[in-house]
Amino acid sequence: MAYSDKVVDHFNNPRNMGSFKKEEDGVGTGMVGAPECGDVMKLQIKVQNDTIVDAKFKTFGCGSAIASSSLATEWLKGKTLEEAQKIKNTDIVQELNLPPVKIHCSVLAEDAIKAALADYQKKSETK
Amino acid sequence: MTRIVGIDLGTTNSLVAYMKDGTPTVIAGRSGRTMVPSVVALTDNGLIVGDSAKEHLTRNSGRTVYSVKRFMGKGLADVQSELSYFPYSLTEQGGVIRIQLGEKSYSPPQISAMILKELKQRAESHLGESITKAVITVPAYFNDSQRQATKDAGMIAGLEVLRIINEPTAASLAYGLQEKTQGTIAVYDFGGGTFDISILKLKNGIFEVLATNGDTHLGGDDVDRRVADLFLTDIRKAFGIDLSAYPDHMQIVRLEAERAKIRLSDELKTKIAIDLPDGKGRFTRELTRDQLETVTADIIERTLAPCRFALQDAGLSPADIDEVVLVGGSTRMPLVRQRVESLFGKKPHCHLNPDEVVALGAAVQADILTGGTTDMLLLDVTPLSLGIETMGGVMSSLIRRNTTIPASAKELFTTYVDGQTGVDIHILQGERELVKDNRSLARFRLKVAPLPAGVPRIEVTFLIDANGILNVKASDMRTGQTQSIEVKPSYGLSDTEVERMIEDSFKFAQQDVDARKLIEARLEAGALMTTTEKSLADGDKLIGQEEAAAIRDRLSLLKAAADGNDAKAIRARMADLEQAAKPLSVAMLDDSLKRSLKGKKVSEVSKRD
Amino acid sequence: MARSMCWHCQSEVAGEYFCERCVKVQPVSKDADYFTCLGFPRRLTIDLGMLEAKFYELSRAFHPDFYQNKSETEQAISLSNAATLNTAYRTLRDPIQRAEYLLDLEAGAVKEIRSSPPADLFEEILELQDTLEEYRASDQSSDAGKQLRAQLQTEQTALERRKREMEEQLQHLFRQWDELQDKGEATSAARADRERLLKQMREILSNRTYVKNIVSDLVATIG
Repeated sequence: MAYSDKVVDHFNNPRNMGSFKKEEDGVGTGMVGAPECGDVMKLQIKVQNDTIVDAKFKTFGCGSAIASSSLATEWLKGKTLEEAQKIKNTDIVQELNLPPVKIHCSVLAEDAIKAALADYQKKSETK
Repeated sequence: MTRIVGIDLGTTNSLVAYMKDGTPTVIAGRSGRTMVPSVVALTDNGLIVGDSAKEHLTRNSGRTVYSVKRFMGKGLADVQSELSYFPYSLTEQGGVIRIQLGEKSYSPPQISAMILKELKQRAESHLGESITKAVITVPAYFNDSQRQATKDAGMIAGLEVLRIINEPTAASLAYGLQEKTQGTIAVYDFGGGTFDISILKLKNGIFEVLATNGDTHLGGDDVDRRVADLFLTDIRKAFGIDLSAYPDHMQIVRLEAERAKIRLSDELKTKIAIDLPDGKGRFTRELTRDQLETVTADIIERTLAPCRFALQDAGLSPADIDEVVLVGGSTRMPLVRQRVESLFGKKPHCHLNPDEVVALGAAVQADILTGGTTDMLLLDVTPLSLGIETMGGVMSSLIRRNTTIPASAKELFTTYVDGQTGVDIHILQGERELVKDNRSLARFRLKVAPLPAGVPRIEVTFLIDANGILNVKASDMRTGQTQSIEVKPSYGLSDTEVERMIEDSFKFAQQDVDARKLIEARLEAGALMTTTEKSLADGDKLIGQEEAAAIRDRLSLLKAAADGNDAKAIRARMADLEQAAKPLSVAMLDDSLKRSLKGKKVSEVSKRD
Repeated sequence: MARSMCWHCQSEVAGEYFCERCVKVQPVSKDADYFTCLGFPRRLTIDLGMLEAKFYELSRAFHPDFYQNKSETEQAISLSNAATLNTAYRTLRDPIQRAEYLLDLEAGAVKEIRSSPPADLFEEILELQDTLEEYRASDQSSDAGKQLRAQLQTEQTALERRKREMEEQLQHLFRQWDELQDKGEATSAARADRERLLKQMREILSNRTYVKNIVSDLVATIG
């Protein structure tokens, strides 16, 4: 199977690795896990004026999970909250050409995005 | 049900066995020896196999193939590091190694087929019936390509391979039949070229393999090589000769090293003598068992890690093993027995003939397949994890190592792009994370009807059968149609290639017959020419000049024919010559008759005399 | 038990492995779960000796070795049945895999067994992973390296203990589940109990997987 250079690059040099302070203003944190394989993913967004200005992740798991989260953070940057809601795991599957056994990695990334958005929403409401 | 024989296709030696009244029995050759050296030599009289071929190792090393098992199911890159040790020349064609013998090149399955044919003929002449079916053993740690190559070899030899069975498990069948033990055993199989460890549970006739591990490139060959290197260094130092320029002598040294190693299993020291080439003298030295063990200790040590892994995979500790069974000629080395004993904490079982037990077990398995033995059943495992390539060159496992076979896994594939008509799948075998560190088995393209992305749903079934060989099937979940998949093996012969080799093998068989006929014709023609020339010298006065000229004419025609390659032409010219020489032979006969009468009746003496 | 027809003589077979009339082997139904396949009730506590005996018995019935003289159809059924049997046995033999499998089967009954992610555990795992990275990159013979190693070893011991505790908890839940199933009550209270148990099991099983993964990473790194 031939992979595009972009995909291999996401795997070898994941972007946006790291984290923000949870308490920081405008930061939403999504923390998800895949019980089937034990992968853990933390995805954070930094929001200003309803737009995601930065995103970071930390993933403990296989290469596909790392690439999925790397790709997700790349996509998130510059998107509005509304646009971000629309990112689907199938988009990630297609972009990374994930085989069936690794589709749950993309689901994990989608869940992480949703969780981060929800967390941001919750934080801004309680403020 | 036709008879099925059991065959141990070994790196160094091969054997054939069958079930004789409930007892597995190895078939001996005319010499009384049960082992056929796994050696094939190309001689002026054609290809020969076994003991006679082994003699050619030191005379005709460039055209004598040994240890071909090391190349089964491999590409040239896999064996790069040891190429220099082999006197015959190796090339590659379509991912398969080719061995050059004279003008032709052969794939390892073809060479193995020649050994199998020898065993087949041995069984046929012993049993007085045609043998077409066999169980063939392979190292437990053989991967799919190596197993497939073995199956191909059987087909090329005209044998339907009904089962590929692992050597250590085969040995356990023979052991179980003889000892009637229950419990957990470890079979430590250290052969000429491969090492296997299998851990089995024996219970009520079920032989359940719990775990297996090994190294398909570790065996007695490596020990011999170490000892040979020791001698070669000595020779270089003492005589200033680099024997690597003398391929035949390299083989002499290798065989002498092997013999010394074997002697040192019973003795503490031994003498080595090797005649050097070009009359440069004679190399002699003494080798002690201690010295042998010092130079080979690390090789033997390398067998222990697989043992530990197998125990770990079986979830057992050495104390849980009730008995350790030794298989393979290399387990005769005292150091091996010592190391095995210290690892498992008990004296290994050495009552079985380590050379024959695998073939005997294969015969037992053959009897199970024919329905003769019904109370025994072997449940083996796949030695290596099977998976597919995923993103970023990572292998994702579908069937884990040490899974009981037959084993299957299903995966659902779909498309990501509208109208996509195919999905490429790359199948791998191995334990490493990255694709490049594992064995590529095959690639294939799943055909998909052009539909919107995500709509096609193709279920692919990966099934490892009881031979440990992979079968792939795909079915369209929407239409229920199954799809046959043409799998291109990465390191193996395609079906068409195997078919061609089967045809070739018949052609070669015909060629062999032709070659034999030619040789016989030449020999007889030679004899006829000699006697005719002698008669002509003695009796040319007895016949007319014309007749003598005719004979000379026919003689030179026969001579020309005998230099050619047409046995029929030689026979025809022989007949011509015999015809032309008839007057001479009649005259000679008359003459001798007359001579015998000479002095008896003067009146009857010929007028011409 | 699903009713079907013998592929060979068309007489009715009700889940038996061999047709009563023509004695031909029957394919294991695609809908049969592994418990049914091995003839065990859907319970989380299984007598391993009995399971093995059943596995051996069925292996003798299905193994391709015994179908060498049979028709191609029978050989194909034997191969596929044996493969299913092997998977079934492998799944049910291991208590964790057995529970995971049962949860999958029951997933239809409880729509969303997925538990809320244990954020604290995740933070811990991600932090530990950072430490692991740091240790891998460090000069392992230096004082700093040794210190990191000692720290990781302490973590490992703690995590291994936690894993054992989870397994004990699971055993407890398994027994509760089985009791509930044995009673077989169809009351709404019983249904709620079942859902609660499934959820608890799901949560501990998942957490155990996370812990197991990081432990094996630790073992691989510091040995």
